[in-house]
Amino acid sequence: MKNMQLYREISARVRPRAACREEILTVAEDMQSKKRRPVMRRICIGLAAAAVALTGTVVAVGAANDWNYQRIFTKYYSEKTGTQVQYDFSNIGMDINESVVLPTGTLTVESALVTPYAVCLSWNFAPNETVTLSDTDSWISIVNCFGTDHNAQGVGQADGTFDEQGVCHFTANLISVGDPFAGSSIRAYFIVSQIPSDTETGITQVKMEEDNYIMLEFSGSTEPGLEKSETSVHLTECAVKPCDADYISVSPLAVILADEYGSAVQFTPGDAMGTDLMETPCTVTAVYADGTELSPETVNYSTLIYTYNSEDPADIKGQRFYLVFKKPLETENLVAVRINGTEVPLT
Amino acid sequence: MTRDEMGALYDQYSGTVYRVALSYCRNVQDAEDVMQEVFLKRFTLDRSFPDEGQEKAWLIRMTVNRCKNLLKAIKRRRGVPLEDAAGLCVNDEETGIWEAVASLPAKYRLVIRLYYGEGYSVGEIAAMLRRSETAVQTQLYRARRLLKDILGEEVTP
Repeated sequence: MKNMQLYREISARVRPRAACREEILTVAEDMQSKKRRPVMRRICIGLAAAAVALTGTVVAVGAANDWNYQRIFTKYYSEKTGTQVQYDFSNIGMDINESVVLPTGTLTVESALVTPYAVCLSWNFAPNETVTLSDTDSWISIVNCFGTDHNAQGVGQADGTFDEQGVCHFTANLISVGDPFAGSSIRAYFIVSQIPSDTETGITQVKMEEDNYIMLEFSGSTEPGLEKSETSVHLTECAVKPCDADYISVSPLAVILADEYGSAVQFTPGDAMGTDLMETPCTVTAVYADGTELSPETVNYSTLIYTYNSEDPADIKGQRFYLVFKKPLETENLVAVRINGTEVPLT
Repeated sequence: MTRDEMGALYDQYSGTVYRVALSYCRNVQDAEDVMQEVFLKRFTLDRSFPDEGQEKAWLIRMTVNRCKNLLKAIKRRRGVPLEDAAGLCVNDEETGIWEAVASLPAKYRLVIRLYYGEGYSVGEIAAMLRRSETAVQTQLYRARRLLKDILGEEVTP
């Protein structure tokens, strides 16, 4: 029998190097004497690019006045079902409409749909006269979100589409399997890139700058029945084995299964960008309070997998699955999600 | 915060922060980087804590978050092994248990670290990591099961 007391005793001998103390205190003093302020930076990719710096924008959940998501999701679900449908997400939506003028144009964060563990963010970029537009160029935008004091994290990537006014619109879903977005503060970093069609260099990786961000404070969510479950469920037929989904969260848009590392994702309704479409690793059924069930109308399943060398000390295996249904989940009436026969109650 | 105040804070918590970072990163350099980030964040934080327990829990939580971010950022890297077991352990039994814990996946190392190494209860770990107690218990169970597989025998508290 191995006694964990041994582990305790060995642990007590582990100490940082003595020099660390001096290094940290010196850096701290140096930082105090040169307090940093947010600055705008221009990042050039292709013909035009923009990075945004906004601070202090406070948004709160409430009824949206100019509801952008109606057109987005009506279009998406209508196409999936083949009939014209209308869903109302206004109880979890919020208008933001915060803009910042940049050297290459104006970036506006339009609105957000907020559930505890998912934020669907919509934003646009209106390039100014310094940008040469071409019908064959493509536009892409990335948003990275990090909790300030929390572990809420998400990354979204979206292709842009131009409207008649020459404004490029983006929509992306941010999923956190760390702390909930709702009720927390996040820093959102945006990068908009124009990718010229006449180059084969592809998308340039942009390094996120520490001082470029918009602060979003989500006061909470009025949507009931969306709490994350931490019941582990073993998934079969996973690309990475063994696979246990430690986190299960539900939003009107998807059921999300993820493991410990599955905090950063990119997913857009109807377009699992940056992910691999795979066969469903499990059966998922949504169970409503009246006993009715929604299954298996999954129309889109995607996963993002990290697999690293198992011999590497920094080895990470992480994956997350998004199961998107043909119609939004009625989360207020949802009482459980059944995954591979295991019923996970939603509290 | 004066240098003396920062120094006192560092002296009080650096051991815990370093050990948590080391158990998560399994790399001395990364653990030191994380420790520096965490303390710099704490020194510049305009916030007071009602008691030492909450401050320590905040520091551990920050450490875990920073470690996760770091691991995601480095993605794959051939790391330098954790503290040399030969320099820490005085016999084969100690080396065995230390290396067995070090070989666990990060999430299991963390709960083992906090439960056995730092002496936190399941409830305290759950609150600190914002997980349910059931989830922490499950991870502790799985960690012990893995340790049993590695060591070939049961581990005892």
